[in-house]
Amino acid sequence: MKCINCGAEVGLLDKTCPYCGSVNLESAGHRAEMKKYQKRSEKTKSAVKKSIAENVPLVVSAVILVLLIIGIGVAFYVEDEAALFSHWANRRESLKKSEEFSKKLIEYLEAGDYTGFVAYKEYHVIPEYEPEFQEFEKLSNFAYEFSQTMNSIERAVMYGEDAPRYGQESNVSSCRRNIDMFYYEYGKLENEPEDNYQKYMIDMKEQMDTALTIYLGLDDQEREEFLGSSMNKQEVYLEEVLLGE
Amino acid sequence: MSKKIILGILIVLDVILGLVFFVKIGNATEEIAWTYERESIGPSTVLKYLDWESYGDVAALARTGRIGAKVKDEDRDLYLLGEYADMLFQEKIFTAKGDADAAKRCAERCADIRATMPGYAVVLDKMDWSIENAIYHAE
Repeated sequence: MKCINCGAEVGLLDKTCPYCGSVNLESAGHRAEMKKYQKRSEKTKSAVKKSIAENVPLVVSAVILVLLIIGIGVAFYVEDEAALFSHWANRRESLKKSEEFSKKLIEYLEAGDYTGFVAYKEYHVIPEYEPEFQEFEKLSNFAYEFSQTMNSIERAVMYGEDAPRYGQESNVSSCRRNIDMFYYEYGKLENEPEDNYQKYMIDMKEQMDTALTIYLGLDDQEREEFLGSSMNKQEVYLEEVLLGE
Repeated sequence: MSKKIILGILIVLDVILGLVFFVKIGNATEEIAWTYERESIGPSTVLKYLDWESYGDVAALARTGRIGAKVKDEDRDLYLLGEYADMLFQEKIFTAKGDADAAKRCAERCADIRATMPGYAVVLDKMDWSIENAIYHAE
């Protein structure tokens, strides 16, 4: 607002003009209204504070409820996907400890413990396709076939006197399939260029030949005949040796 | 509905969901801590195969115990039985193949397990019998 005497700018609540000193008549009304507004404002503020105070527990409870619902949802998801989380955590760990794990894998190979090699690799979720373990890639695949076949022979031959018969019959079938697959895979490897791990593959084949000799009664010549025979003949032979039929 | 009633309902829901949340968090934590071993082989499976006298299965299932997997103390015996069967099976192969060192390692491990588990002598004898029987039939 402007001073009615000198026209300078004066504040709404200024009693006199700060430039010419004349009395600001209009400000008296504003000052009176200001007190009224201040009172009203205080009243509104206290009403708002009261309302907030009344609703705080309600809002806090509602927020807790929403957070709990989200938390339970997350817990359900984690529980469902636990195996996956565990798998990825193990995989990350194996990449971090690649040097230590590679050394251990070589120890298993050197000891001729190829089933141990596969078990160690699977337990630690060692990814042979990653650069850190790529040297084991070809060997891993073959060792896996070896381990599967040894497992199936082990299952087919290690039975107690009172073992139920149906279990043995299914093991004989899987034993035949795995033997076939192992020698098929070995045949494919023979045509591939040699590498540092070829000696282990040859050793696996020799262990398998020995297992077939001592547990299935197949010497070198009989093994070749067995592998060259039909599926039915192979099953008949294994049933005869393993089940005494 | 008055605010007090709504607040009461919310508090009751909070308490119930709070309990559910803590139970679920406990379960999820336990699940995440599962190792490959516990995930894929329950002791009940090993016991089932022992009951069926299917020692090859026991051996194959317990192999991760042999390579150092974490196993609960109360399940350790089951895994040692599997390891015994596995070592016994391999020992015969190494012996026949002429790999004396590996055969000796397997035989020693079998002897160790037998010495630490006198209470399981009957089961271990049955495993021995199953291997001898298999070799006899193959000859």
